[in-house]
Amino acid sequence: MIARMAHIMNLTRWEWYKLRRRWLPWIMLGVLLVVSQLFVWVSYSVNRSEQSGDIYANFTLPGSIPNVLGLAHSIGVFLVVILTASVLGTEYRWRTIRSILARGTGRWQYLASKIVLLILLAGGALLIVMAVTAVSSLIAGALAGDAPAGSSDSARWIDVPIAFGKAWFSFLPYIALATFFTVLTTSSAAGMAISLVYYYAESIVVAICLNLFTWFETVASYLLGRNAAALMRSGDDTMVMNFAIGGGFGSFPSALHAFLVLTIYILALGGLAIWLFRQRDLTGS
Amino acid sequence: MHELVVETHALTKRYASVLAVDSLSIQVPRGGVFGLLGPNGSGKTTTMSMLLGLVSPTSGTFRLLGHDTRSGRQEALHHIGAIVESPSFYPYLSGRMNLRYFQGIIGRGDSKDIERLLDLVGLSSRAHSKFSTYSQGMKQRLSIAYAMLGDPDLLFLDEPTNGLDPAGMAEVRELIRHLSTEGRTVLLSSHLLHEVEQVCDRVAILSRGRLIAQGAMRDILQQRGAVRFTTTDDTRAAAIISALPWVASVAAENGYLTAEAPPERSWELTKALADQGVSVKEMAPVQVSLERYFLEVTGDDSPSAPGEAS
Repeated sequence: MIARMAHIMNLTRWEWYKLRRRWLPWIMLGVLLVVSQLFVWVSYSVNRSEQSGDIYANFTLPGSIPNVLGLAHSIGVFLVVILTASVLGTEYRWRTIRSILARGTGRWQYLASKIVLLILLAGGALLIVMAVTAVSSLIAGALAGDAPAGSSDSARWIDVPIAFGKAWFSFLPYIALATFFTVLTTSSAAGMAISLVYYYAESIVVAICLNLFTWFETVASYLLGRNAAALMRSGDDTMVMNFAIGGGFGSFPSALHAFLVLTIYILALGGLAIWLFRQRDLTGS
Repeated sequence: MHELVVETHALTKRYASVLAVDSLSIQVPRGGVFGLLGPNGSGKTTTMSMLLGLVSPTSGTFRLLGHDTRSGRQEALHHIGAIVESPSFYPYLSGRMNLRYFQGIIGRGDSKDIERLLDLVGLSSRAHSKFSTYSQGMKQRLSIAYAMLGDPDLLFLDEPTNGLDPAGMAEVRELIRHLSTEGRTVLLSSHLLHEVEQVCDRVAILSRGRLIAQGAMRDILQQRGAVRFTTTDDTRAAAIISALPWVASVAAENGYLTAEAPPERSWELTKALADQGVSVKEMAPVQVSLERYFLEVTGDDSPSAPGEAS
């Protein structure tokens, strides 16, 4: 077992060797950083013209970080789906997957190493966003001076690791979703398209059906996006803004419910992808 | 009996209604170059893909380097280098980085090995260039370097001269001969008869997924050899020779008689003629070309002439 894990970690290390030489992950990280900085500095600008305790908390520590993580998650889902489909699909397009597996690399270990890398990258990107946000929040806080009179003190440092954990965990089912569809279609474009269509279509369908049918709330409580949104909204961090797609309609499942449903999605989609990857013939065409 | 590095038993692959490989049983002994010869679509690549674990056989079994493939395929594959179809590398990485990556996942060797292999295939001066900028010949050469990573005992080379100009083909063939030394075995698939004839010691001929013949190249060609001769009475000689049961045919051409018979039995021809009072004036063995042999055994399947692109 330990040897297998070591083998997967070695494969993960070499996947990173390849991936870090592509533009795509760095462009995505750049997008996340730009968006998070926009959030901090736009909040700072608004605060200058209209002093408000809530706005002040958006760009100062610790309140800025959970808010930025919520925003990074909503954009990050889109980016993580593209990255996952690209990382997997290009192996089919360039036919490098045949060269890798022909040298005795185990199929499930190889796919697992890709998934591990994507999970680590998602977490790493969030950590970098947090670090940069912390620095810019310190600067913005220093520039803005003291908090406006009457500001609530609801922002807590404990919300920071909780928000990080929720944002990171909520990426995992989307990594699993994109992995499954990319392996199924053996194509980056198709894997990306199907996963993103699902992501957006689910929120639209949920919004429409919740207005039409009361019983749909039960169905919706088992859908992927709905539970990801529920997890991001959960907890006592009521001041954290909700950026999750699918939010705002009906009542959301509890955090525990969302965690369990998302775990099932991760295991089911990841397991199906690995099963399919192991069964499939890898022909040249 | 030679040690076998590849042994298949009734290996079969069916894609829906298409039988790509039909009950293939081949034995590849250790050492030398073994050719899988057949026209496009004869099942060569599918056979290699099954041996490498890329495609699951519909039925049949095989052993690689003595390992049963149900339990020891991964272990066997660690000692096998392979090129399957076109060279497949990461276009944004240099040749050196591509080899470094594959070496990393194979888990054997160091940077010195990569430099040695780049030197072996003549790519040292372009090792830093991106793979996407390589010519077809350079891509093929990088493939051979990749196949040699980890110093494998067995090499699978699927159409390694595809897309190369004649000079490039000659270079790669020379390289293949070089690689087959030191006890290493090369399993070469090709649709180029000339190539197989030049490079291989043994051959298995495939047609429409079925094995037509296999064995040492020399034995196969001698089975279909011929003897060319002239006598004091060619008309009588033709009649005498035609009556021999092991002579397939006799034809007169350009003042010579050509008997389709194993050259090693030419002394029996001489004796049969002398017994009937016909003297042989001149006699020489004629080696049938692989191309002619191939045409005979595969019927209307058309092989590619030397140098013809796939």
